[in-house]
Amino acid sequence: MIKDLKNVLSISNLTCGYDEKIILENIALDIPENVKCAIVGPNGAGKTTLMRSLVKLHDKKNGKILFWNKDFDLIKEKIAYVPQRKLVDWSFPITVHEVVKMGAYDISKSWFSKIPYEAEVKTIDALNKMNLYNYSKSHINDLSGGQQQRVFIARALAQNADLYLMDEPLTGLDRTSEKIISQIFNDIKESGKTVIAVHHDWKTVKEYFDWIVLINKNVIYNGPLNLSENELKNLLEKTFE
Amino acid sequence: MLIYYFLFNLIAISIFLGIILGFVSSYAVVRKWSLLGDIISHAALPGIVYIFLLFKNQNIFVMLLGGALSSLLSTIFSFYIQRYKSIPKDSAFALILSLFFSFGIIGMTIIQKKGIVGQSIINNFIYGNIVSFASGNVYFYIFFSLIISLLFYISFQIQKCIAFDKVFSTVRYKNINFWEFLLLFVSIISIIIGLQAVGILLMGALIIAPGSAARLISNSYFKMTLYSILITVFSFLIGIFISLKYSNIPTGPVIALTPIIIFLIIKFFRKIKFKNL
Amino acid sequence: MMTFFIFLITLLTVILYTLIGCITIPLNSAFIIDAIGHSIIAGIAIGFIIGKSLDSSLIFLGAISAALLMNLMVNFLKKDKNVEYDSSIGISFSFFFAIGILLISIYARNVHLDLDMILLGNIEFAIYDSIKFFNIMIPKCIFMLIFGLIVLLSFLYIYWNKINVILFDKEYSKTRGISFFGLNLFLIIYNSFIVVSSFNFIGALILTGIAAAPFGFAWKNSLSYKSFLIKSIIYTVLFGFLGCLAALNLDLPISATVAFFISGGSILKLFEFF
Repeated sequence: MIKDLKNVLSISNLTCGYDEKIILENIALDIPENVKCAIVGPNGAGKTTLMRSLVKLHDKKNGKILFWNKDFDLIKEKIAYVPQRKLVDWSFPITVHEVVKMGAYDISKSWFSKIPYEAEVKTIDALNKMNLYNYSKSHINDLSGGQQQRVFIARALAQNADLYLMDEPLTGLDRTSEKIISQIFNDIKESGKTVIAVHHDWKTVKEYFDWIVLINKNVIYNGPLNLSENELKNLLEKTFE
Repeated sequence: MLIYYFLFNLIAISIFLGIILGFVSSYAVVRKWSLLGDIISHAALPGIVYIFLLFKNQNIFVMLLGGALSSLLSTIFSFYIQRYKSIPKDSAFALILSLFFSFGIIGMTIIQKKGIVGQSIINNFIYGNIVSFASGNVYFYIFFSLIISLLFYISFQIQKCIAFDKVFSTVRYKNINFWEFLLLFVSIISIIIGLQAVGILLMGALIIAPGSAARLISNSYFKMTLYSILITVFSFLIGIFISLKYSNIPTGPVIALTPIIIFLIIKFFRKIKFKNL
Repeated sequence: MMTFFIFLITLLTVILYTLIGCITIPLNSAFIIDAIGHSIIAGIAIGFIIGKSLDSSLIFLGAISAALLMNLMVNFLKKDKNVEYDSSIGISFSFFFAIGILLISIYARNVHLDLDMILLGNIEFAIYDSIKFFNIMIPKCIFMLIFGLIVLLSFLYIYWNKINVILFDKEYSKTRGISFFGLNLFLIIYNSFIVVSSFNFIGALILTGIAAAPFGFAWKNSLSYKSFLIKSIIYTVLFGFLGCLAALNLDLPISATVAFFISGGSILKLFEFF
């Protein structure tokens, strides 16, 4: 363990799964700060299970997960989670503005309908960053898939977090949304923060990320993405066999 | 002699009803139709009641037909809402169930108030009364059950395909939609026939429980269907036996409770089994 | 005067169940309310058998216990991945319901523990159960309904921000540190109490229709949860009023007619007939 390398995420001895099934067994993983990290692997490899275990949506069976050496519950306001689009009920009566606003203040400590004034500013800021300001008053169901994904990311941005955990943020998007989100990844990195995303498409991983974790029931590789084509190809074959 | 004939009727009907409802339960569980069973049973009420009211007809067969039609209507409605309207799934089902059932209750109250004789027949449908059911035309029911069982039997592979891989099936079997509709229709008929024994209020349980219990102890659809049939037939026989022995206990609740208890017992033993691992 | 009370009871009930539906259904399932209504039969039966009287508070206690036990059973069963959530609700309430019917048939056949009463309720009778309040005889159920409404509205008011997030995105709310265990627990206990308190005038079978009605009336076109609530109440009250009017004029059972009108109206709105 190198002392001056600060790890945004340290996993040791992690065994996790759901419904009495074990998906990942005894894995270890350290991800440094300020990277654009992709988690890549075939279907069923455990990418989403890992992500969800990080934010405690699945109870881990064993092991440790630390963020800057702290437990998730102690630092959760500094971590923003963007779930998979398909898991949400988009018919819920709510506007784009209101969804993003959820990220802009600490809901767990707010009572009645009181929302701190700064939340409004942060919301508009996030909406602008994702080019969604014109859709503020629209019903979320009226948006395209790409726009919906941007709403979720805007919500995460409004939190002003230090770590962004995203589950398949680039899946099934139109070109515009892809570009906007990719730019956001760069902005996040430039402001010294970190993004870790489950990425579905190994072919495009070099375009958006600079760090990669290859998973298939085990961690096959965890490191920077400055590999040669051949090295990458070999690793991918190993992961996807 | 008459009593043996009557007993024979009861047992024969129980077995045949048990078989077709066993098929239905297994199919319903893999198709994830738990609530649909409830809707089909409850939605039968207006059909039964209004046929009776409008045509003053006490013929059971006609009432059954009415029930089947209104159930079918409610099912089509449900599927339509589920597919095209983006509201939470069970609220669509709840609305349909409420619409049909309350409409039925209104009709039933009209019958009560007008003092028309026949309230008891309708009550039989709501609470179940296998004894009066069994004194009807037994061969008619056995005949229907045989046809329905045959249909379920020959469509076995198709059921598997529809339940587990619809997309693949649509490519492989050209007339999958026809079969899907046929199986739904046959399930409705079976449920309606069974209503006379178990009653509208408890039928939902009989559609979910045997299949759910069977699923816990089988790895293949074939075994699951087999167990479902065995459990359902067993439930009917227990219901009859207890009803005959203790005349104040109605068959409906016993028939409905048996597969649930079997389900709970299986779950309990599985938990013990897993805890010891 | 009696007519006024009938309308008042109907409308208060409709408002209450509309609100209950608006919260419970996105969070849970439409059929959990139906399940509570059915499962209390077991509690009523046991309470009656032990207490030997229809007015017993044991009946109330029994009914609440049955509802809570049923909820526990649902929670236990749904953990099994081989059992669908809907199936676990169906099996649980059928269990209690069947036991209830069994017990009533065995022990209470002769008594006026009419199953119809329990399932359908009877507003027409309930209005006669009244107490004196400022020199007027007011039906007891009105107090219960108003109290129930105050509790629910207060709850909504206090937890407003949290409820909005939980209902929209349950998992996200978890990651933000909002525990909805409290919400769930409150809903289960509250719903059980309300259903048990209202079965003698509204009946167990009609509740679900009213609770699900908001989703046809106002779900699709509302831009905020608040406007969803308000629109739902306006529509259900309107159709509830029409239903009550029709029932009284055509000599039909009130709860069934109200349910018919409300669920019918909701479906019509869903298919955009108006």
